[in-house]
Amino acid sequence: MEHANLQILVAIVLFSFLILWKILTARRGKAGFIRRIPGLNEIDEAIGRATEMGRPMIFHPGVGEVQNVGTLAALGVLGHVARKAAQMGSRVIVTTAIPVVVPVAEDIVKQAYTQAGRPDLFNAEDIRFLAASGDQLALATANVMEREKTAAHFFFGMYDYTSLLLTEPGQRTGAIQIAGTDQYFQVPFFIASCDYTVIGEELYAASAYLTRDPTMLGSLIGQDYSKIIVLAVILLGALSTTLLGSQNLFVQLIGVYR
Amino acid sequence: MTKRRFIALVTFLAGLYYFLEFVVPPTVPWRTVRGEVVSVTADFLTLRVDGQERQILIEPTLKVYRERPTGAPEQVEPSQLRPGDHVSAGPTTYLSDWLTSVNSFFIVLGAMAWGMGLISLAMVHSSNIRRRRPEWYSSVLFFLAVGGGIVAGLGYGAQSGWLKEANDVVFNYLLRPMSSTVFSLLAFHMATASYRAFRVKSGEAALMMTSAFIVMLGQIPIGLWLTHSLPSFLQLPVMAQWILYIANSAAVRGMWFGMMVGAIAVGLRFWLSLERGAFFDREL
Repeated sequence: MEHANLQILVAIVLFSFLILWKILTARRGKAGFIRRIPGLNEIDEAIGRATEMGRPMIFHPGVGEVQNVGTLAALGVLGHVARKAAQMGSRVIVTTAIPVVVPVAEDIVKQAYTQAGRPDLFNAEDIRFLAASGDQLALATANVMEREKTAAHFFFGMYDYTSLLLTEPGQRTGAIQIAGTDQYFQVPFFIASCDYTVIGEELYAASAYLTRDPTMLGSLIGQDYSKIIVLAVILLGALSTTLLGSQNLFVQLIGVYR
Repeated sequence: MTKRRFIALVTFLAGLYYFLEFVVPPTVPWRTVRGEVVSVTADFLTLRVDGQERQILIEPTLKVYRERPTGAPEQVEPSQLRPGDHVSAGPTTYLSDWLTSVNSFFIVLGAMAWGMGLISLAMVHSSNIRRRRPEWYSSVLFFLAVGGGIVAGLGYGAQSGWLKEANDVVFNYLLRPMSSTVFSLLAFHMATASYRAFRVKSGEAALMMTSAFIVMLGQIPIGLWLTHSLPSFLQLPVMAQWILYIANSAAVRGMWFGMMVGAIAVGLRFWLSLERGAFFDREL
């Protein structure tokens, strides 16, 4: 197992402090502005469209294990999709190849329908563990798209080569498709085959953006402060190396070459 | 409420272990010795530290980390060391020693979840049969396949006999070729997706198509043949390499920084149970 060196420890403590500080600030009512993310704006539009057509939606939380950060972020998006669907009296089908995701997704969807006052609409059979491997799951999900005539597809989380196996059959059904992944190798496939794509860290910001919850917003602003620090270190490192050579004090301090 | 607080407590403690395991060094820093191996006996490890030899008693609590050529440390037993190896040795901080056991605990939990997955599948398919939904007979096939798969799985590792035959038929002669078939579908999906992506509908799409065109032509001999008479910086292979390794790398690294900071934020929110909505209907 890898261990943190001093520089990593300082970075983790600093970033964690900034994120927690901004969360606490936001909870006290000082939430800031976050930019528009078109892919996430369209989620409500897609749910509304599926509801008008009287057809269900599919939510696919990726192929990552439940402890994967992308999967956790995707489950946050599922919470929002399920809440909106419950408010509109629509149906969400969740398909997964990860067994541990089944009870978690079931809990999220059930809670959403209960909070919306429509517990009768919740059906445990709509949370489906379809296959143990990604390619079989993609086929099975494509089958669900055809059979249930789904009108909106959401693909959020960690994806591998199966991304295209999921989205291309979905594209042919004519459903509106919104995807988001932190796996940048899969981003071009999603861009080519989905109507809207949420890229990289936008996936982690999705929960904050959709719920406008102060904790989430604060965390997002803390992330931005942390990124400003990373950017400053990169700029200072590049400038000092260019002007003073690779053995200057700043480079030695941050331990780039260690 | 008690259940939520219990989940939050367990989440915090589990996260705390992994956090401490990562940030606490594997050996006590002020008692750790770094140097070059001179000799190793059953009882003593001799290191050269700053030009002087220093003997370290080999105790059960002693942990030795050898520096790989890449600089990353690997844990080794003292008996595996050779003179000239660069090592750090010191008494353990114990946290890393428990890592395998803690990981095994989560593997066991994960294995239990497979049962839940099977229950979920059984619920869907038994309901299909009970309600005679369209193609309900496929659900009957599902139960037959699960039964057959379990029986065939018993033949895993067998050297001969009908169970081995069954295992071969199900896993090697059926599942494997079917998986390859599904994988091969990707080629066709890529073709249709690329066709759609290459339709110039906006400025961004035009930019994407142009860069894809340069990269594709730059990867094949015809690209060089078409542009060999131009100055080198205008030749397609050079432009393709620039797009791939300069422009693309900058964008990808930018994404990586954002994602890593984002991962810390999501990890913190879950660790401290600040994430609302997913597991808790209100903040704790």
